[in-house]
Amino acid sequence: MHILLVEDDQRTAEYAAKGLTEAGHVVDTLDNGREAMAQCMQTEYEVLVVDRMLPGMDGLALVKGLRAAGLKTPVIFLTAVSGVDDRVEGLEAGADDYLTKPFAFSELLARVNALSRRPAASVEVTHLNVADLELDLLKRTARRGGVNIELQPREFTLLEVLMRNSDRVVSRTMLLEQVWDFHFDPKTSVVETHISRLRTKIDKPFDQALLHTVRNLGYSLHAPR
Amino acid sequence: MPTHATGGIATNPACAVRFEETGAPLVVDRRQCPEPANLWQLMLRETYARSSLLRSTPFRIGMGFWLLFCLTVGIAGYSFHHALQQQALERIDESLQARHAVIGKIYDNDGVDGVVDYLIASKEGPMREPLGFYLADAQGELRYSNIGASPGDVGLATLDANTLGIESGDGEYRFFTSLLKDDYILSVGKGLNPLEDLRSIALRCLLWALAGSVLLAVGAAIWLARYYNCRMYGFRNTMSLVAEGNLAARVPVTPAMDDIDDLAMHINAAVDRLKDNVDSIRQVSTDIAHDLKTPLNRLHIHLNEASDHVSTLSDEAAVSARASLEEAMVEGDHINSTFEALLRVAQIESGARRASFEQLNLADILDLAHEVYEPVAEESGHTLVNRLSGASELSMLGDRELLLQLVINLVENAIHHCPDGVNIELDGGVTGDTVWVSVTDTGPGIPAEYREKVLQRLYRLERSRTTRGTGLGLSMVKAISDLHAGSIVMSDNDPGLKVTVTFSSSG
Repeated sequence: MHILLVEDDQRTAEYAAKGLTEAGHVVDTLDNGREAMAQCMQTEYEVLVVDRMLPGMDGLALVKGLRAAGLKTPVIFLTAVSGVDDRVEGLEAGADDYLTKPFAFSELLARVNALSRRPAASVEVTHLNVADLELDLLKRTARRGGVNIELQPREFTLLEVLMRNSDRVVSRTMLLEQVWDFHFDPKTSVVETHISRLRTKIDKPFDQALLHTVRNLGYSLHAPR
Repeated sequence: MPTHATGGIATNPACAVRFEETGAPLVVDRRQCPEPANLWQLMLRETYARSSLLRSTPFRIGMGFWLLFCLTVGIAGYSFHHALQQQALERIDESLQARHAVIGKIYDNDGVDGVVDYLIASKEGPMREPLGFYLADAQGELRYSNIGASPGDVGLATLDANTLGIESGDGEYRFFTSLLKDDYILSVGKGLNPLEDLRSIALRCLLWALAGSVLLAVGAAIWLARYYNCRMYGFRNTMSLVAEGNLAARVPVTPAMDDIDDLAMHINAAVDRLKDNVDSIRQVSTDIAHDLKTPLNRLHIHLNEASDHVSTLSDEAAVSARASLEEAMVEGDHINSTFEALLRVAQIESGARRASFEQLNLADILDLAHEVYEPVAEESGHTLVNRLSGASELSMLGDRELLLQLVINLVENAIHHCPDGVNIELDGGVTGDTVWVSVTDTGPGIPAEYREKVLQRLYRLERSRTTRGTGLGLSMVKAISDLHAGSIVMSDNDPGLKVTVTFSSSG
């Protein structure tokens, strides 16, 4: 995937670029907003990773400019402060996701992957399948190996997020945001607890586990390998 | 007139100037108004509490000036009337004395019979005005009279019809009594009707003038009260907006440049200064955030890379180095989350979030908190119960995300600081025009003397110092409650702690 990374702190830029390259992506790095604007007009990127605070033209102005120019490339903001207003401002400007510094690289990678896999708006997915696990998004029912699984509404959403990102790692924070709309860090093991409850429903009664914990990174739902 | 009964901001549709409407009505602490110290102040307060019109200073000034005007006109009218009366009376006296002198002359020439003839003649003669005569000789024998009784002693006197025994007449009469030659005594008198007419005309004029002026004055005072109320409304509305964190709000200034405009411009200048200060503080905290976040970010990267490098080695030293690095990362994360929480509290306290308040149901927030935390509590050996189950309506104006955080911080606090096997209860309700939520636990509680302190930033109870936490959870609860003009009460659940947060309801 072709990614443009706009980050003025050289150390952070190197670190992120190295990691993304190792994960098989092609990364261009720039350290200011103006050049990034020009670059985006010439080259078609699949994902932009943009720091909020940049010399010259800040990240917010850059994204607004790109959206005004009609570019729909997904954008992830890197923000220094996870304040409510900062986040809302960023999303209103046209960013698709945001990540607070300091960030774990795995978190960035998970979000980049999730963005690049976002289906185009016109395609409505009604069924999700991973191995013998089946999710009907219209009837909001789950089945595994032909057996109906009773899920609470929010358990269903949790499973849906995991299945939409199957084969990828979904981080704790991504789940907090997407499932419960929590934009702050709980001091208790909220995600772990709910994952464990989900596990007893979709994995425990069956032979093979689909939902895996990826240490220090998050969770991944995938077919047995 | 719009009524401003007990605070809150009333919309005044009569105002020519349209103001930006405020979100949640600002609750003004009326206790800052001192209690009435004497009967006069108490009377004023009671009167103003009953009438919004009397509460308006322009109206009171208008009415005060009208009373002053009435007093002045009254005094002037009275003195004018008095002087006029006096003047007219003197004229009458002069004419009576002149008449008496004429009769004196007749007596000198024609004697008492000539006088009697003259008196009879003048009663039916060419002088039309009713005249009264009383002629008696030196022994007091009546010689001629057209009135019932003697007007009395020598000199001028004002007498009424009764005393004089005039049956057909009423009102007052003026008599001049004096001696003729040979000690004949003659009184000459005249009715004072024209004088009384004058008096009643003057009085009627005065009353009509005052009646006209009262309509004019009340009308003008009400108009003034409305006009100034509009301008005061501008002040009040702007100050509410400023208090809510909208520092761009300004008091409207009219082109007239009068004293109120001058005051408005002074207030606007003060808000300008305030805005500059707040902006620079915000800028400083953004700069600090950036300057501190960049090294924290780098620290995180270094530790990560070091950890990656070490993990490729496999001797014993590498294992312990890796453990140390992981601890360092945890510490780094802790510094970061404390810092984030401090910034967040500061951001909430700045009040900027009020701009995006929306109508919400606190019961939904309790439901969500219960749904998410019920399994978490169970995992840590507690129970979490939501007593407010079912479709309750706890509607208020607020920020959903922050209120959720408030409830969750309280729940997490209970989970963290209580030993196993504690019951945690969520509850909520409506009391009068307030809505409240409470989080109750059966844990160790907080001693009464520390309950205020735990709401301060970074304050931690001695027994909690060893547990991990930022010491900011409850100060964030306080900041969020303050943002919503709420109040926090911590009480003894015996055993345990009950935290109740009350907001003004909007439903």
